[in-house]
Amino acid sequence: MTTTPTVPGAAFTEHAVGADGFTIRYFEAGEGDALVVLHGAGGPVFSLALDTLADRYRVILFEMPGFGDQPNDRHQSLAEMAATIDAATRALGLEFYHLLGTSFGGAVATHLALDHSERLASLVLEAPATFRVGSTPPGPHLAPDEMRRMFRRHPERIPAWQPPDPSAAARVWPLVGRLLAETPEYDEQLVARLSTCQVRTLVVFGDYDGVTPPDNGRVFRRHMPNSHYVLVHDAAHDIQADRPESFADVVGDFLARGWQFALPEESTLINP
Amino acid sequence: MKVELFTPVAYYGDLDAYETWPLRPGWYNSEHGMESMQFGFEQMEAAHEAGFDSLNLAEHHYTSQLTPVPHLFAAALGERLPDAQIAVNGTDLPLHNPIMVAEQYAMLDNLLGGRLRFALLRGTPNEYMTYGTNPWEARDKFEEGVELVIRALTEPEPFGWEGKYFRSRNTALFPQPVQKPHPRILLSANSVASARFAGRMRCDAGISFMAPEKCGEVVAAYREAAADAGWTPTADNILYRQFAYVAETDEQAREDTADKWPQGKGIFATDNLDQLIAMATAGAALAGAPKGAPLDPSMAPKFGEPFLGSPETVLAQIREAERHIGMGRVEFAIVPPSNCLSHEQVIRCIKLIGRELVPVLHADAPAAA
Repeated sequence: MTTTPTVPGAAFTEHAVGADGFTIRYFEAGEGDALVVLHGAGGPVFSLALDTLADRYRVILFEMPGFGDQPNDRHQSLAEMAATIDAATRALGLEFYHLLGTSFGGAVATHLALDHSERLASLVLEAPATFRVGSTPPGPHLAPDEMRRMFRRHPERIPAWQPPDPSAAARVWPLVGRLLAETPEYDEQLVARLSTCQVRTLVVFGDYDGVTPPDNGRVFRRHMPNSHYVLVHDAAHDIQADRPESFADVVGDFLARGWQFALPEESTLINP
Repeated sequence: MKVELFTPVAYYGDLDAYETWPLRPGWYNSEHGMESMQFGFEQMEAAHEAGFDSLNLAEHHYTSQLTPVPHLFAAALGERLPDAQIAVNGTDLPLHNPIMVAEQYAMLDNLLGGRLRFALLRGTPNEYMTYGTNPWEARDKFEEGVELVIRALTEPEPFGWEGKYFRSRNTALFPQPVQKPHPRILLSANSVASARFAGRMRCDAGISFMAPEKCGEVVAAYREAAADAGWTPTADNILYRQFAYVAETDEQAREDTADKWPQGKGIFATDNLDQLIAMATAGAALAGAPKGAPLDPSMAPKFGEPFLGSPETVLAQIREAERHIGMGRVEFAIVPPSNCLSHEQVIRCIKLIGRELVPVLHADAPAAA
């Protein structure tokens, strides 16, 4: 068993791949079936949860175009961003892979599942921004303490809470706004498309999410034919940081076992 | 002020020893047991006729209180009294799977036609030896359990729960409760920490047996936490439970209770020193003492005097409690440990309360914030 490092991401190595006219940076760790990870609006973030998943999977954390040093004025929709990521996975030779999208990345991952489902083994959406009824968009207009409470129940846990870098936020916000924030918080057409999406899907929300109310997770459970909706207790928007062990447990079990993740494998025998 | 009755559904058969825990199962006589349960129904019926506002039960294990599974008694009681409000005050939540607790209450609320209220509590120290429950985890586990119960009662889609103490990957309550979003839930407010939690969870606060003059801090904590959560409790959200026995005169009350009630060792007592230490250890853990810490008598609950005496005396006690607590509900716990009160005496007490105290307390101004 691999010992989990206390500095998140220590096992990841940095690479780049050309796809769809972009040079896309990515970070990779672990061996096994591929797990592609799409970050939130704050850019790629390492976590103990991803480290744990890298004990069992080949984790590939992409930096989506526009979230690094290079601007991205080209993409005009989440579907276009999803197409670029699809191209990047092809460029890496991934024929079949699991996909995990966080917040903004969850919205991109939703479109990947809708438009490119044939190569997805399963889809995990962590506090996805796909549906945002009642949400409080983060931004510089919020007080630092309020921002912290929205994202973290346990700001002391690794990685310790850091407020967003204002210059980075100013750089990516036009892209996030164009692709997501200026779109409807609840899109009926998207719901209709999800109702025919057969991808095995797990939607995970922290029950104290202060950005996107966890009730938005019900939309997937109600409409997607093969979806699960799990609340991680005592976690806010950044579940991977607040409850890394639980996140890795539920996601790892789901990736490995699908519906059977509802059947515990641990023995309850006390003594033979 | 509303008036509620708590009866333990006491066992009225003969026992070689009442004040020992656990009771020896071999002492149980089913004829006496069935008769005792009948007495329990009769006491509840008497309270209903006497104008009590709620008929309340509770979960206790391995004692002469015959409701280790109070839901069953509540369901049967609901059939007998189709217009009574019935409460289970309450479930020892850390002992159980919260999802099953939610299912039981959802079903019971349907059986009672929406007349249910219930409490989620942590139980007494000895009860951690009932099913083998870690008392040092009790508060954290309890608080997660409460959140899971409420989530299970209100969630319209199948969901999973990845908690610290509970994991369920597939939960979907059917039936759902009749009352929306759920029946009123009471949580203990016997400590500042528990009172804050009750306020934060927008639940009713129950103060049990505490000396009223010691309750100011917990009531303030409850109200502050509620305000932080964006709501304002009224007096009706606060219940004060106290042992009670009312007779025509103070002298009669003392004579009936033989001056030993409720000062006896109680139903959770034991003469086994090792077991007593284990219970005290569990009690300290419930009070927040870390594992291995020496027992600290100062952490023991500060119990108040029982409501004992004539109607005039008990009314004065209630007014004094009200002055400190500001409760809008008083729960008379007519609990006869040591079997020192007969069924007939309990019935007489209930009727006397109904005749002399209920009208006076009901005449109070409606509970205000």
